[in-house]
Amino acid sequence: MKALLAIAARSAWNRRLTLSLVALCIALATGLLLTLERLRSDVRTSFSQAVSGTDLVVGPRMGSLPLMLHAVFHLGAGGNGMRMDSVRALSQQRAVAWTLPVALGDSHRGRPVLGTTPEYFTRFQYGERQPLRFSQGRAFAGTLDGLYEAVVGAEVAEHLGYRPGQAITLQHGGDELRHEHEAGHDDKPFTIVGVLAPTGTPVDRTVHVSLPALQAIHLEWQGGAPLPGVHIAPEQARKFDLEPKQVSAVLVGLKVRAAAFAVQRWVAEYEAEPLMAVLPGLALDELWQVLGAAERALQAMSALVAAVSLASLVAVVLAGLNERRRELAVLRAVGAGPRHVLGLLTIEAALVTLAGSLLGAVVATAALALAAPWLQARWGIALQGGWWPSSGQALLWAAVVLAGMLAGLIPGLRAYRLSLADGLSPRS
Amino acid sequence: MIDVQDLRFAWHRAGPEVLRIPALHIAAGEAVFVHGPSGCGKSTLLGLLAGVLLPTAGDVALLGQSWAGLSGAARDRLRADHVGYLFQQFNLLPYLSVLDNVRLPCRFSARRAQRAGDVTARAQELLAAMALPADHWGRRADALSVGQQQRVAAARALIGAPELVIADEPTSALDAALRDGFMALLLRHCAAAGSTLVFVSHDERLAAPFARRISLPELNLAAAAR
Repeated sequence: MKALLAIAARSAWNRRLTLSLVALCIALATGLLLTLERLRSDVRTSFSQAVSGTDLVVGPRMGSLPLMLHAVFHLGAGGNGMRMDSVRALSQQRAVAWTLPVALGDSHRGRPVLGTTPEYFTRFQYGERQPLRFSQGRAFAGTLDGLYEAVVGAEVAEHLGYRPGQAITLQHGGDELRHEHEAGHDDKPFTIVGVLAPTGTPVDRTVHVSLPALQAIHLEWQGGAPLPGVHIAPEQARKFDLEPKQVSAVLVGLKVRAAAFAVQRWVAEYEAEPLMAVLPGLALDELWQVLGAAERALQAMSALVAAVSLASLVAVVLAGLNERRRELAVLRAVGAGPRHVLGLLTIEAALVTLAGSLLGAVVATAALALAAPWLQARWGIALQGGWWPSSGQALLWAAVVLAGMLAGLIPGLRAYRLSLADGLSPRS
Repeated sequence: MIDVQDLRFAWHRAGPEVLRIPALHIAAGEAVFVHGPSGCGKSTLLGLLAGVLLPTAGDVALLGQSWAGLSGAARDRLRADHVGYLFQQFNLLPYLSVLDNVRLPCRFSARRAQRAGDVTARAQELLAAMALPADHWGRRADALSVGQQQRVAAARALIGAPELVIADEPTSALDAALRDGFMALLLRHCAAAGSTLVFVSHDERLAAPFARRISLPELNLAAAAR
């Protein structure tokens, strides 16, 4: 066996150009397969880590998935909103530990603007129950003096080059709805007072302001458009009643998790307005059922690429077989049996697969390690457990090697039959 | 050494008979020259003697052991242990060194490795005996001339002193001057190792040094019947 291995290695080295091309093929396929697998599972984890420690998301009745997408991922349009007195009624429930009202709708250069309370920065948790941290500055004060203060996420600060002290203005609605002059809040600029540390969640792409501030910039607005001829200066706004009337949704923390269903029932039966309460974990599962089909299509595609590369391995070894009948006859003449010939060819295919898939694994790991900071900042995808290959990747890698060894049996068995038929004199 | 009884051979069950040999006996230590024109079944006969092919009917035995009575793996072992084989040309694995090529049979046969003693030293001895300069031993086998390659192949066939050396037209790729030198070396070292030599060629000019000559067309009744 050891003798055979040495001969197989030397023989393969002798045809290194063709075989290394095949190995490269396998490396690319393995790299694709492993990268995709890692991204797939990490995107899933990142998504599921966008919020943690929040037991319920309560908001207007609109379907659990749209409510989650709106309240946690700041995507899509919200519903009719939820009245502030409903929020107060909810927070007076005995099982409720805390509530974080969130109001969405405005934007800043494509990033969502989130109105909330200063408590948000101490209560909100993501990932494995990690709290938010400030990389610079502090939370907005939430007082009248600090009315026009804003806190930006890490990605907003990095991409737009923001630091505490800088002034920004907000736009009404999403960016695409904006009409240059009429739908801005340019008259009431905000000052950045804090920058959050990166989280790999939608928080990174968000501009946070206080609920009264949102109230202030919409004083002279009605039905989504500014009232013509009315203008209230930023200083004057402080004299108005800035108590928020309604919000988009509420993140709820419970004293005991087991109370979630009881609170959910209370919300569903709440009579003052139609509301719903969503368990974030369940809603995310629902989301993955939607995205699952696309995910499976990608997986099938990369599995096909791997199959094609193994087929090319079989083709190359088979094609080389005719020219190697002489070599096989020599081996038989010095005492090798047909089973040795079978072993030789199978070992060769296994060596090529092993070399190719190892290279592919290294490439995939290096690529992911290099891309990790960018993935985190741009897409909010955090590599779980660093750059080291995941168990899912290791399993896929082993599957590729195993498939390569099985594929190697095809030319191996053909060589076995040839060397039985040829004996010591190839009849070609 | 070799006993052939009522041998019949056809490539396919219903195909024409290629060989029919009523009896052939070769004693240990003999040097036998088998001649006949191309296509008369010489290589087929050698395949049968080496146990790579099995007779359609009758019996071929080596050292009293009938090839047909053995399993495939056992035939491979018997051949590896007791038979050295020389081809017309392309005898060597091009990607191994000259020395590794000579040592090759000892990788597949523990008996020949044991009989060779120090395998590397014995391989070097044989290469020197075959008049191959020491600076060629580490080179790739395909870096050598055809004449040198045939001498390396002869050294390989002889390592571990197999009881039977089979040579299938080993000189056909050599010119006259090289051929005579090669023949002399091969015969001398087969005799020294005590190996029986079965040498096949279509060229009757080579027959002179052999004590026994066999004409295959005369021996083979299948050819006469055709």
